[in-house]
Amino acid sequence: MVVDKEKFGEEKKVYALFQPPEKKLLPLSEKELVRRAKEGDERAFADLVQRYEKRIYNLAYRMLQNAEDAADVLQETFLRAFRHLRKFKEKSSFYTWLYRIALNVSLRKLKKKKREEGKVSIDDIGESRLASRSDGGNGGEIPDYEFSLEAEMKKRRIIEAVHNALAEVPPEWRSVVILRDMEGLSNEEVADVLKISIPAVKSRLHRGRVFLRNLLVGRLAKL
Amino acid sequence: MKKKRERPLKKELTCQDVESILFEYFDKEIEEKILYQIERHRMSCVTCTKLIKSYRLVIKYLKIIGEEDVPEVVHRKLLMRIEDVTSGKLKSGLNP
Repeated sequence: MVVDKEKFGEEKKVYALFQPPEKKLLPLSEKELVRRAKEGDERAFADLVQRYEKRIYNLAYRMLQNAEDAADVLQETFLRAFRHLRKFKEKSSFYTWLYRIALNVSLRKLKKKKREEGKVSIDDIGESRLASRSDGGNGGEIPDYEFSLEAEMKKRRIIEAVHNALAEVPPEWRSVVILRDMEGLSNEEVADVLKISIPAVKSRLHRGRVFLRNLLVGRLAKL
Repeated sequence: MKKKRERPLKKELTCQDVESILFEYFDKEIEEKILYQIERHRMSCVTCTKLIKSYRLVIKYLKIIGEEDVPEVVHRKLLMRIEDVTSGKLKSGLNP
C-alpha cells in the first residue's frame, strides 16, 4: 500500500490542531480567544469552534429538525463567523453573536425549504392554532410522565412528541422558545441575539409555549 | 430583581384574566396580591388549573429534551473546512 505522505502529513496537522477539548483547549477566556482570533491566531479560532460547535449544532437541529441541515448550518455559521470576525464589536458575548448568525442561516434555510415545498404560510397556521384554547379532547390536560408506571418509556415518547411539535411552531416563536426554554438564555440575551425588544421576546415566548401546549394536549393524551 | 408589572386589582379574576397573565405568572413577574387572586381562582376553576399545569409541563418538557452530540463525521468535516480557511487558502475572505 502506498501512503500519500503529503496527505497524511496534512491530516496529522489538522488533527494536531483539533484535539479533544478536554486535552487541548487553551485555558483562556472567550474574550481573550476572540482577541487572539481577530489577530489571526488560528488556534484561538479553532478553540472557539470546539467550545461552541455542540451548542450551534443543537440550535440548528432544533430549528430545522434535520441532521443534514443542522450540519450545513453549523459549517456555514463558523465560516461566516470567521469571515466577519473583525466586524464583531464585542458589545455582546461571542456566543450570542454566533447564535444570531446560526439563527439567520437556519431561518434562511427554512424559508428556502418552505418555498420549495410550496407550503401554506406557517405564520397563518400559527395564528389559528394560537387562537383556539384547544383542549385536544382531553380536558386540557398534559400527562406528567413522572406519575406513569412506565416512566422511562413514557418519557421517551413524550420527548419525541415535544420534539415533533416544536417543528410545527412558527419559526419566529420557535427560535425564542429554543433560546429561552431550551438553551437557558435570559430574556435580555434572547433580545440581543434576535435584535428585538424584551417585550417582543416575552410575547413570542408566550405564544410559542401556548402553541406547543395546544398541540401537545391532544397528542400526549394518546400516548 | 425583575420589575413586577402593576395591574389594576380586580375583586375576582376571570378565566380570561388568568390566561392573559399566564406568562407573568410563570416568569415570576407578578405582584403578590395578583398571585393570591390566581391561586384563589384556581381553587374553584378546573379549566384554569389544567391550563396552568399544562403550561408548566410544556416548559418542563422543553428543558428535559437532551442535546445531540455533533456526529463525528460532521465534526471532522467542520474542522477540516475551518483549517482550510484559517490556514490561508481562503484567508483573503477575512474581511478587514
